[in-house]
Amino acid sequence: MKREELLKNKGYWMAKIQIDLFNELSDYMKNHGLNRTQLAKKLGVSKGYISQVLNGDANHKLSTLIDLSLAMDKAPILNFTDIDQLIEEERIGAKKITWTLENFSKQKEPFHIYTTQTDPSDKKFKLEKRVNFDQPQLVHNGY
Amino acid sequence: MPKFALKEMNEINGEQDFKKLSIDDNCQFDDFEKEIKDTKRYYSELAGIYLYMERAANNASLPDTKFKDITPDGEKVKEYEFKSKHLRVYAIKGDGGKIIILGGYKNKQKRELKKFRGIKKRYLESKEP
Repeated sequence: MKREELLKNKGYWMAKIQIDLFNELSDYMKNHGLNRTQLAKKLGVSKGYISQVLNGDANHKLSTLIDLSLAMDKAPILNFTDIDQLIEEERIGAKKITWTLENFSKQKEPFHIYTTQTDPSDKKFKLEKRVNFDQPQLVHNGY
Repeated sequence: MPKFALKEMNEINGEQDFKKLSIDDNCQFDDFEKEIKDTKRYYSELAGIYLYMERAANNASLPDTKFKDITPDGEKVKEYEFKSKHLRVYAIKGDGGKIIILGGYKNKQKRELKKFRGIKKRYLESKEP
C-alpha cells in the first residue's frame, strides 16, 4: 500500500485512535496500580467497555470517549491537519533524512536540518535546529 | 532451490526496518494485498494492520489482540502475528526489524500458520552457509 493511500484510509486512523486510547488507559492503569475491575469502578464505566479499549477495539460515542478522557484527568484535544500537507511533509521529511544521513559525516560545522520524526508515543516533532551534534533541539511542530 | 529476496516496506515509518519476503520474485504479501484491494473486502482492516506494524516498528506497546509473539518453544527466530477481525499477517524477526512472510485470513489461520512456518524454515535454511 502506498503511504499516501494508507494515510487516506479510514482503517488506519481508526486503528490509530483505538491504539492511542489503549495506550492512555494502559498507562493510567499502570500508574494507579489498578486491575480492570478496579479501573472500571474508578472511571465509572462498565468492565466491558474497559476490555474493548484495552483490546484496541473501542468504537463508542464521542461523549463516552470524552467521559473516559476526563475521568483519566486528560483533556481530549482533537487536531485536524490537511491530509495532503501531511503527506507532503512526510515526503520531504524522508528526503531530508536521507540527505542528512548521506551528508552527516561530511559536515564539520553545525548545520540546520528540517525534518519530522515519530517518537515512540507517536507524537510528531520537528527537529528544527541542530546546534551541535550532541544536543539537538526538539521543537513541537503543532501536530 | 527457490530464490528468496527482501523488499523494503517504505510505507511503514519507524525505527525498525520492515521488509517483505519474496520467493522467486513473487511476494505473497503483495498478492494478498492485491486480492484484498480487488475484492474490496477488508481493505480498511488491512490499513489498520499497517498502523499496528508502524507502532511495532516504533517499539510501542500494542494489545495482545493486535500483535502477538507466537514463537513456539525452542524456536530460535521469533515469530509474530498481526491481527484484525478477519485478517492475519505473519512475520519473523529480521536484521534490525521484522520480515513479513505472509498475509491471510482468520478462517484459514491453521493452514496459513503451517504454510508460514514452512516458508520461514526454507528461508532460514537458504541463509545458512
